[in-house]
Amino acid sequence: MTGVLPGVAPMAVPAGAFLVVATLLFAIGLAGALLKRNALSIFLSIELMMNAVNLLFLTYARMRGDLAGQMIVFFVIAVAAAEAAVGLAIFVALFRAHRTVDVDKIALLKW
Amino acid sequence: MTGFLHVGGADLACVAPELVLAAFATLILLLDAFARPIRASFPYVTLFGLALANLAGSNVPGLFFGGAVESSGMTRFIELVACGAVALAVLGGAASLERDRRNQGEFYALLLFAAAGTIVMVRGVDLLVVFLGLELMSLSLYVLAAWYRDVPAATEAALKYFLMGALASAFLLYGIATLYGRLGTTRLTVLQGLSANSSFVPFDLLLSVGLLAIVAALSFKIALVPFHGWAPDVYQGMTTPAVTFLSTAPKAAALIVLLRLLHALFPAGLTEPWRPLLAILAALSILFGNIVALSQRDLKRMLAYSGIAQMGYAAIAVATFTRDAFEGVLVFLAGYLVTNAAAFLTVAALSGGETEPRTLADFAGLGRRRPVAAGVLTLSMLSLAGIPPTVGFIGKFLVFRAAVDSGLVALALIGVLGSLVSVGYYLRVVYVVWMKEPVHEVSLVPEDLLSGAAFLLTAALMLAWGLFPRALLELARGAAMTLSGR
Repeated sequence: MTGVLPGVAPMAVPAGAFLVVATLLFAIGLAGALLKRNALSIFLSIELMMNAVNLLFLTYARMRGDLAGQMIVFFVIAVAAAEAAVGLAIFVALFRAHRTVDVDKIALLKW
Repeated sequence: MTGFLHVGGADLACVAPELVLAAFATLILLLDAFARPIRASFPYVTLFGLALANLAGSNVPGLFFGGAVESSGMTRFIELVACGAVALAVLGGAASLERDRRNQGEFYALLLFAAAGTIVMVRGVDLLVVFLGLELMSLSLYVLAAWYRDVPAATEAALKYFLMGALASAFLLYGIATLYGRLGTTRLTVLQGLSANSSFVPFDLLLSVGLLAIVAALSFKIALVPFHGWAPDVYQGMTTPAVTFLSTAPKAAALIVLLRLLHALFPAGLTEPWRPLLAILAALSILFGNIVALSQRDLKRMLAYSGIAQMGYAAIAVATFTRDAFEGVLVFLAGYLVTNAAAFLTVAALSGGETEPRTLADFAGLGRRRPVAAGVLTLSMLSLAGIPPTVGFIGKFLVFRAAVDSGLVALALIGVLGSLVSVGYYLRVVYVVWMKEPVHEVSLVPEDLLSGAAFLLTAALMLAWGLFPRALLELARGAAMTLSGR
């Protein structure tokens, strides 16, 4: 294999680095999901967590030389798309009824 | 993986109930688009589809689709539970939907899709299939939560359910990825083979975090404390017929998946950190659910907290993790299905419009106006409290006995204590319905044949299973065999 740049030796990124990045992304997504107040931002953070998991699956599949992990990623992408469709529809209905998507201002239901 | 490429007749026969449910859901969507005038017949089409799906259920046990799904006593059990829950929701809900002009086909189609997802979840032997089933079920239920989409409370309930549900899905996926990374498979059967091997490496930190993520995600679906936050709001804001389904079948499916996963990983019984962990989840749910339910004024919220406590009793069986406990919890779940469905059916029939509050005071004096519905509500409250001769008593008795037999006496005592507390708020409902004079007249949903049939069916099952539990025990035993082996 040749490097991307001529004259530069190819450098393999260790698989562990991908795992660290994926875990960090998952943690960032979780923090966003718990701290953000805008429903759309929360949903974006959750999508980030899903994609972090996709990276995990791909890295593990590569490490194990197994295709199952790569196949799972396709299913996760499809499910995430379906979830986005339902979620955005709910946000639209929510905005029509409440005129806001700030989760702190939406508090009719409580004991 | 090549097994996926060879799909034979046996494979399709295994998933026939889901196929029938999905086909009827699609049919109803098409009828709704192209044959509007026959909307009034949708409840009957749905019921016919459910009956057909149950008849289509395969009796050949085994693994299909290259080992990704299975047909067993357990899948038979969840087929009955899921189809039964949809049937009761449709029977009880048709009248109020028609009154509010919300009887579009999507309602029935979404319920059918949710039932199919519930079955797929339990049928999945591969965690990917479990995830897909869970998502099919959840996505349908998110939409149903926002069914009255111009009612602010309904959209708020849908928002909360959706965001927390999506978060739970992400955790579930993280856990599956970790299991896959450490053990190299997502098949429960393969996991079981690995963990049964004496050279199985004990759990390291990463694997424990992964399993914890899966337990948290499933506890969210079951609504165990501290993952219960969504339940009261969603129960209150969601339309009552849909809650009839939401509060029963998905919880049963998530609990069964939890049992199966734990059984695959710990075939010889739960090991140290996990058993106390599940016991704590159970104890917290029982105590918190029962105590908070005491102070609720909205009947649906009260039933939500009561449901949290009831699932706490079921979680006792997960912590106990013996064969008796598995059988007991399946009896408990079947009993909980009819009992809880009966409670929500009467709430749907007795309460006014969707936007009106359903406080306990609104139910005053209904014993005289609707004696049948009030009678069913009374029976259901007795069964939830676990008073013989109702089915609620049988389920609780079996679960508590299994816990005591395997040495979890403290946990069983917490369960009994919780049941005693719960009698307070369950009997208050009975008192208000029969004894209290109404302050103002509330409007009622017109009586119809379908809801009458649902009342009769649930009342008959609550009493029949309570007095003659043999048939139910046989069903539970057959299903539990799937878990604990022959």
